[in-house]
Amino acid sequence: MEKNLEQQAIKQAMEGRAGLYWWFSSLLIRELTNEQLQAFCSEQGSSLLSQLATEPSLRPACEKVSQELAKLRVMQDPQLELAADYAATLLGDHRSSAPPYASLYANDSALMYQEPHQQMLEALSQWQLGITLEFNEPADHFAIVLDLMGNLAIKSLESRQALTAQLDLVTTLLLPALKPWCEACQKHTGLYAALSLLLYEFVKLDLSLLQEE
Amino acid sequence: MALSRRSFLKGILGSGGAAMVGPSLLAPLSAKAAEETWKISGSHWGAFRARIAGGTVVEIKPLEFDQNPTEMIEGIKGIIYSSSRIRYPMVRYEWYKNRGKAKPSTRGDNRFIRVTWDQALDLFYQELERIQTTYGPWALHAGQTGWRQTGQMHSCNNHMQRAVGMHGNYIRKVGDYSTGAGQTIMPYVTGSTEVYAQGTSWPLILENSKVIVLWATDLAKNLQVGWNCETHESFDYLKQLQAKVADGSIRVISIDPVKSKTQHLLNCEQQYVHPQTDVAMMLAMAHTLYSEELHDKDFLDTYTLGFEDFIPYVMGEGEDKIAKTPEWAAQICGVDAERIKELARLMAAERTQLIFGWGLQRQQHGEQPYWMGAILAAMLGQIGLPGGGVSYAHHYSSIGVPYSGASAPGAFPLNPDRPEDRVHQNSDYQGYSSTIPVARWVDAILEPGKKIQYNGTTSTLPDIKMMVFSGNNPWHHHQDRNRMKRAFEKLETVVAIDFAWTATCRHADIVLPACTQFERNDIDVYGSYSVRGVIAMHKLVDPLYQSRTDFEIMTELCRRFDKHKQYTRGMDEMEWVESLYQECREANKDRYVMPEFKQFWQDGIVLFDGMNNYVHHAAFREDPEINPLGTPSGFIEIFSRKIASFGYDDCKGHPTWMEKAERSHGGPGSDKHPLWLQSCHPDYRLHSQMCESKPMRERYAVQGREPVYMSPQDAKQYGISDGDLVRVFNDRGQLVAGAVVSDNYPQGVVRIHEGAWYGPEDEKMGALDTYGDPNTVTLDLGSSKLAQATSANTCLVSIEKFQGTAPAVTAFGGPSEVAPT
Repeated sequence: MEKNLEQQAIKQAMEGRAGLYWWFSSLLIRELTNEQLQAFCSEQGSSLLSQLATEPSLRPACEKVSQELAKLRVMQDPQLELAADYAATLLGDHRSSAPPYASLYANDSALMYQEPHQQMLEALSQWQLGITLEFNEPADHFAIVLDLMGNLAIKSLESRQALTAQLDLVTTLLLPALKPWCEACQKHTGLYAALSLLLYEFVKLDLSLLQEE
Repeated sequence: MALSRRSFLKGILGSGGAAMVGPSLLAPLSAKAAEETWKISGSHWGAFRARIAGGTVVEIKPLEFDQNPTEMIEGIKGIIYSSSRIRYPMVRYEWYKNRGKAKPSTRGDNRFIRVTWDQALDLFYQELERIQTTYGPWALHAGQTGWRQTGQMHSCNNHMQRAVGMHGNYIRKVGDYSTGAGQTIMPYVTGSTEVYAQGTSWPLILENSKVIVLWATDLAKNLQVGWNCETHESFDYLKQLQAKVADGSIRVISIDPVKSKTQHLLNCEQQYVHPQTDVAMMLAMAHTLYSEELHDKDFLDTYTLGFEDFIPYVMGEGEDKIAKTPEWAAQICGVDAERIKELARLMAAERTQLIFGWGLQRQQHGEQPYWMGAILAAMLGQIGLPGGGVSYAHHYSSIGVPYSGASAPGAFPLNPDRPEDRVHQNSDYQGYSSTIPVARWVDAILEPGKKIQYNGTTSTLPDIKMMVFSGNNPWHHHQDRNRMKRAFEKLETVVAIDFAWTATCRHADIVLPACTQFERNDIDVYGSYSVRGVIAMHKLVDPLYQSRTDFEIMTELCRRFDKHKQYTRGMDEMEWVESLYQECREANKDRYVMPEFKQFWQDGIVLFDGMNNYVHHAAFREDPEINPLGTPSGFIEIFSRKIASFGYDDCKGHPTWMEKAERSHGGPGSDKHPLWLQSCHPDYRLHSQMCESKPMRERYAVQGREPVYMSPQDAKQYGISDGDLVRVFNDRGQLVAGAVVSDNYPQGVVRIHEGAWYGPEDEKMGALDTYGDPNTVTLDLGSSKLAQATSANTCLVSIEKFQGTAPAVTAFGGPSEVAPT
């Protein structure tokens, strides 16, 4: 009985992790739809942030995100403003903005499609996953890495290998790139700068928990 | 398991939270190993083979045929994988919200949003429609074209102009930024543009010339790139010339204020001359030739017209009553009078090939040195002889390389097919000129309706409301950035199609991501003038991000006005490539055997072995009656009645020395800004192409900035050391660049290569350019009423060591900071 409860708790935790990774992935891959934005600005969003903020290391970032959401709520055209915010923070080049690709932070070459892209292609191939054609993005786009993390979180309920793969992905690719990316995001104002901080803190926390497991 | 610490995850995003999560980016896929392959392609920088592994280009090496590859080949990966790539269709935020009513001061402020291709093309089409119906063809300028990526099928100029042309008429340009003055004056003098004409073949020059004068031309620098795929065979001849200079059989003199790369390569002599004073020096040489009766009277009598109308001006019997003696010239050009005489005598005594570069005519009165060069050559009487005469383009593409005589592949059509069936047939320009001199479009925006003189006609500048740029970066090649800013504030709509965030894209309203030439299949001639072969341009990788080929972009634009079938003629990319090859194969069938297309595509190249030599103007020399020049008289026109009839004060009936608006070394304006800024073609890129390639930029940039080259004397005077950041400024603008102190430069001369990407600190007027674009400070002035060409090399600046912390470079970014309001 106790074992069943523990298994259920593990399942919930992994599903929660997967959900969060996919949520972050959705936030990064494209501008928010009206539906997503409304949900984020509603009780659902507040509740999500409150729950995350129960973890002390995430609290400051959650507060920043909440503040940015509050600003959005009073804007005349929040979706469009947020789209411009998104473009400014993520769609420019690495000097003027913070493009969400691990390659750009792997070395100082400032080139895309470098080693992290190849690493991700191998990882996806290993788990027999492919990038849907709608998004013709390098495999090291953080959104794709985070999506894979979510998939591996679910797979890890049945596969120890999936757990190891997550550790490997976070330590060798994701976290080393997230740090400078998050710093670059902080040069901007707005929701995405706050979210980058939350994502970085979350992945750091998740790694520490993965390492305990 | 750290379950207790995972408690914050419990039920998170559980009920209703799914609304915040979008669709998955991943789907099950059967694993397929990416095969490693080698492919062949070509570029302005030469032909190469590329190794593709894991779907990316991992290695590039020059084609074996190319024995003199440029190191710029190594910059290609930096183009494909540059973080400056435009990844998605983007629309300027203010414009998106307000369209034509957007606040003008917001242009260039970098605030963009991403849109879908459908949205972007709908907006593009709606704007074309709005401009044609609200105004008319005079309000749309889609005529600015430039050095596009290589490839005959995908040439973006052709695609843009054919598609926009199928919708309606628009303003076009005449001339270009490279050779505007030269190509306008020379048809009056020798009957062709000269700047794009085949020149005497190098083997004949090497065999016959005793003296070669390189007048302001840097072959070794500029021959690295070609209009089409470059073969670099010309460097074989430069090496032979180097040997002949060493053994004393040919004397090469580089007349140039700067010690050029070619001078170093050949280890030849230099004759310094003050900037912009070459005409004075040439007139004095003419004075010497005439005074000492060294001129070829028979040649002048037989082949030229108007010498008797010109020589009084030289001898002091003209309107100004000033004899153009070497002593007179020495005061202006800084060359000792005896040396001028010595050079004139030398040229008259030996078989002398004069070779001019293009920088000389990219200045105020740039027509004059070209005309005067032809007159000097005519006085020497060697025009039409192997190794003698005058050339204006031996630094360009494969001019002078023995040629195959084969036909090159044609291109995707630039114009709509006939009978033209535009959506808007309106061709009423309401009194405005439908074609304007290439460099005068900023004047048009600022002063619509203004009448300017141009090449014997009056041009009425149109009231441009919308511009479309494709593979064209006027925010690099046009002069005076702050003046451009004022002009762009008046435009209602700007569309830019490119693969990287150039400054032109940053000042546009609709930005469409084209793929690079390495992401599409194409075909090109190997050697623009030598036609050494035909090269396949294999697609190395699929278009990255959401970029598309120009063909696809414009097909989809045309679909919006139901012209897509006419546009494509019902053919796809590979069908077009194959048809261009087949036409070429048919045209060459009597001269060269070309394989079937399938075989050609597999081999990647077909080479033609013909090596024909050519002597420029030999046919004319042989019989000027049967082979007249294309001038009004059929002869070399030393005096042009036609030009004289225009009555221009800045381009008269014969070459004249005229003072410049700005000139260093004691000339006008030098008391305030003492240094001449030359902005010649770069050594490490093609104009602005490849500036975004960081691996290449790292080879020449100084503290991440474009170099400003200067003499040790000037560096000392202004307290600047090699490697310092420098503020370069004048009354028009300011920029920051990195100092390179070199003996190659004389006092009073600084150089910043054109093509350095513009990156202002902010969008405000007068903002400091953070990377070092020389056109931030250059003068936007027509060369004369004849050509109205660019005068980029008429420019004075001041320099000082940069004080304080220099702002970060913004030149290579896309959209940037947006603070929600």
